[in-house]
Amino acid sequence: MKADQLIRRIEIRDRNGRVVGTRDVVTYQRLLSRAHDDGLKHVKTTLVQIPSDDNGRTAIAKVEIETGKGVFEALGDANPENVNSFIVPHLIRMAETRAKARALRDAVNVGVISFEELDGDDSVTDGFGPGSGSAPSPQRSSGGERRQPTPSNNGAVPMTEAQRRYLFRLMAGQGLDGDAAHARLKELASVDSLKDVTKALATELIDRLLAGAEVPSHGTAQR
Amino acid sequence: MEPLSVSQVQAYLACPLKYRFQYVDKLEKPWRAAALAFGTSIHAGVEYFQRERVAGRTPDPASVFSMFEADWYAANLDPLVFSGSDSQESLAEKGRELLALYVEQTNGKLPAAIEQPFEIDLVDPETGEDLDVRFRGYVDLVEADGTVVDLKTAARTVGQGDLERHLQLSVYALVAFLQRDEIPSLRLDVLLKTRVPRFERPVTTRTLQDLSWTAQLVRAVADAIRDRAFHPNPSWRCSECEYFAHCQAWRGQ
Repeated sequence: MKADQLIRRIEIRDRNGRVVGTRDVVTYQRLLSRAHDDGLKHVKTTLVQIPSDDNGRTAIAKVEIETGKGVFEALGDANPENVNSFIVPHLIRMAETRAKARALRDAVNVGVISFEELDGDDSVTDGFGPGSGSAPSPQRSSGGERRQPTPSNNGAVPMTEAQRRYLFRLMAGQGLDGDAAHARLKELASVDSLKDVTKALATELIDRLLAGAEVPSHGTAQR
Repeated sequence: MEPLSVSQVQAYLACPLKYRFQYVDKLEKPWRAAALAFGTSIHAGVEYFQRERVAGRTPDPASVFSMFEADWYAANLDPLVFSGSDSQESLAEKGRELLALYVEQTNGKLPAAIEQPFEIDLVDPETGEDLDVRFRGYVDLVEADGTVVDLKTAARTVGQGDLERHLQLSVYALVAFLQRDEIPSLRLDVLLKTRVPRFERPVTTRTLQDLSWTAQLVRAVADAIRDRAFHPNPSWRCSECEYFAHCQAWRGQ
């Protein structure tokens, strides 16, 4: 199989289905086929982290692949924030698939990202984030990277600043501003201070507020 | 190496040691500069406004203000350091004025994309050399004619020289070229926090040589990060650096 057959261009659409751009990707299926062509010997998968509330429901898998060209290793992760909503019940499998895709890309010397490694809706729609629709968007830091939350004293990952700001924008979309929004969020989270809200709980609150469907068109869901 | 973002490149160029504290050591910032948080909140208001337009609605200024104020309120739950005579209240008022100006003067063209993500393997556009850097970020706004727009809040007018060397615009142009094989028009939408707020939209572009230079700059930064070259860069910025105390304790380790 030629390299150009590995790569295909997908359309990036906005929530109205309008094409707003394209992106080159490879698919897992084609990577695997190419690896077999290169003498795939074995694929070994290890689950490094089981998703739980303490780790932001992040599954991490490690994969080792051996072809005629050597041994290649890669990690893959999946959590509710970086997969399509349909995949959320299957985080471990998605983490494994992503790890395999990354290892296969190294093994067959393809630099283009695989379709399976994309972050769900935000990569194949318009980048407005999973669950795009009409909710306020989480704020990214300037320039675009995602901030890495650090574990709090009790080991749970605290709510990120982007989540907190997003929650307040969601509340504004429901007509609650300032102190009233603050009080309502503490009530919803059953905490005395928003500093006690974990990242996982913040994700749940966001989901609940979005599911309430009273949010007018104010952007997108969190990344 | 994990994908490198535009802001990481900018952070490293500003001060390699601060980059290490922020992205490698992941030290918690004891406070944030209010101006940065304010810019993020303005961004939230603008993004809401543009998304509404894309969705076929005409957002009224009050709803745009509401989105900005919600974000600004949340930002102020963390310790912010205000400069000069700025305060939470004064910047809230300034934010409303700036957004009113933006809403008033942003008519006609609908954006084709907002907050468009990219992640690419960096290639020198002149030579085709694979630079071994995975690069990612978000483009603020792309107009239907392909014009790439970056939004900024600033205290003063952006000069022609700054516009020509604006790294974010250069990167956006590079990414657009690598993805679509054409160099786009570039525009910086600048909301000026002057006493009487102003909205300026200077236009620029880049040559293929500019893009090659930018690509090599990003590679040089990526190489330096791989080599763990994390030295301090003393400058006027140090007085407002969140990691000043950590920097003072640094002895080359």
